[in-house]
Amino acid sequence: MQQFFHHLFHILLLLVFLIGILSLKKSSIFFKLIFFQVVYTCLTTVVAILYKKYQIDHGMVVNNMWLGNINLFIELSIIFYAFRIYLKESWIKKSVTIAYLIFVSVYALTGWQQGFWVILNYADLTSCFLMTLILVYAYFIVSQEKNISIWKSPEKLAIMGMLIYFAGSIPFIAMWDYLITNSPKVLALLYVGINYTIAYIRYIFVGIAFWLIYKNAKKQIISS
Amino acid sequence: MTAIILAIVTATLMILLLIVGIAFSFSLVKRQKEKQIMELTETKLNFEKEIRQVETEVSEQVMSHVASELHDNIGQMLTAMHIQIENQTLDHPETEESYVPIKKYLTNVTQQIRLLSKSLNNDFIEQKGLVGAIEIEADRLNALNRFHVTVTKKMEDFDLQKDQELMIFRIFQEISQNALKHARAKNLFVNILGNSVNFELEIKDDGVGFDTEEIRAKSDGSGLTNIVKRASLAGLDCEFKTKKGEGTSYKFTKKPIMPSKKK
Repeated sequence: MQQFFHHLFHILLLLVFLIGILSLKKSSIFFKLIFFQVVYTCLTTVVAILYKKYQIDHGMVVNNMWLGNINLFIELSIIFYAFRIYLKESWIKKSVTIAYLIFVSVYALTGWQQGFWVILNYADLTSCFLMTLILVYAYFIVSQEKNISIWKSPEKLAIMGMLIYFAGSIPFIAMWDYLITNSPKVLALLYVGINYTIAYIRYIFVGIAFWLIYKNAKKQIISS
Repeated sequence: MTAIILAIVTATLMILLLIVGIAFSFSLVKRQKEKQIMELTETKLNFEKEIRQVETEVSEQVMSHVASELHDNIGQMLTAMHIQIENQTLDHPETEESYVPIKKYLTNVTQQIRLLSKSLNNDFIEQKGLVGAIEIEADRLNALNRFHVTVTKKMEDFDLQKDQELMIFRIFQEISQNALKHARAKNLFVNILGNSVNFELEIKDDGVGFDTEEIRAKSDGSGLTNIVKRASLAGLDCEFKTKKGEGTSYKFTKKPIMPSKKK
């Protein structure tokens, strides 16, 4: 069952990547960065699969946590930077930078304390909180600028997708430490049930956003 | 463990619901804001319209007053002058010849004053109707021998309110004055097209034309602004074309009322 959700996520990621390529030319810097994050996640996923296979083939204990930690840092760095560019007011740009510095500090501290072979869930939790705040503000800004349906606005869709993912991850990540010690089976169950579901929603929304950019660009070409 | 699973799932669902709520309230705020802006714009427009109407009413009153002054006072004085001259010629028939040119000018002036007084009075427009008033004004202008006004019409009964007719007539007066004073036109062509649904008034002159931007930049662009604002008050679309040395043409159209789809 877990394998099915895993593969479904890979297919979805690949689809979003392909649609992202189509829309890339007409995308703003913000969406180019979001696409870059998708590409990076795709690459990390491929590396994770290959590394897992290598570990199994060589009779090693499977542990991809360090890869997940690197992914967390780079993925969040890209997203923070994307929103630093997307949000125009200087005070919010400064706030995004401060939020990023908080995340980096927590990441470095927990990494130094726990090591990089276990998941840095405090850094993950901090990033989820901070990203939720930034995304709520970004959604407020975009909804005040454009009074169009979410299904017609690439910005609204991408922000909402990420908001659902980061805000929805908070309870699950908050309980990570407890569950990994007391009930890894429940953790696996919740990982599939919650994390995959909100990740699907996130990438479906981002994929639709890329598709809308591509479709709108095509429309413009036809009408001109 | 089930309790923990339930707690995590519930917390996640609550957060997701909260997000939906937040998104919904944001769009509600935006709608409210837009509604307020629309209401404010509408109020401003109505206020501006009311001011314009008051201005028009005041200027109509002033014009009516000038018209009655012209008719009652100056007209009476001219009549008195006429009688005086008649008396003089009766008393001294040998001077009759020398009074002929004066009598001719006096008749012309009296006629001009009478026509001018009529065209300034809005009751006259109500009596004669828009087309009749335009034709009489055209005759008055032609009598000045400064330029020639040609009125052509192709119409059935058109549906215009009295206020609209008055406004259109004042627009015509403003344009003809501009053509006479500023454009140095030799000809003014007035074309009226109308039926129960549409109304179109086209006025063209063969004068010197003007640079729209230049006129708008100067403070004396008020004549043009007046024309556009009066047209908007009369519920007409105003379109004008001009170029230096190529005359000016104005086209005023009443938008046809679209038939309602509701049965």
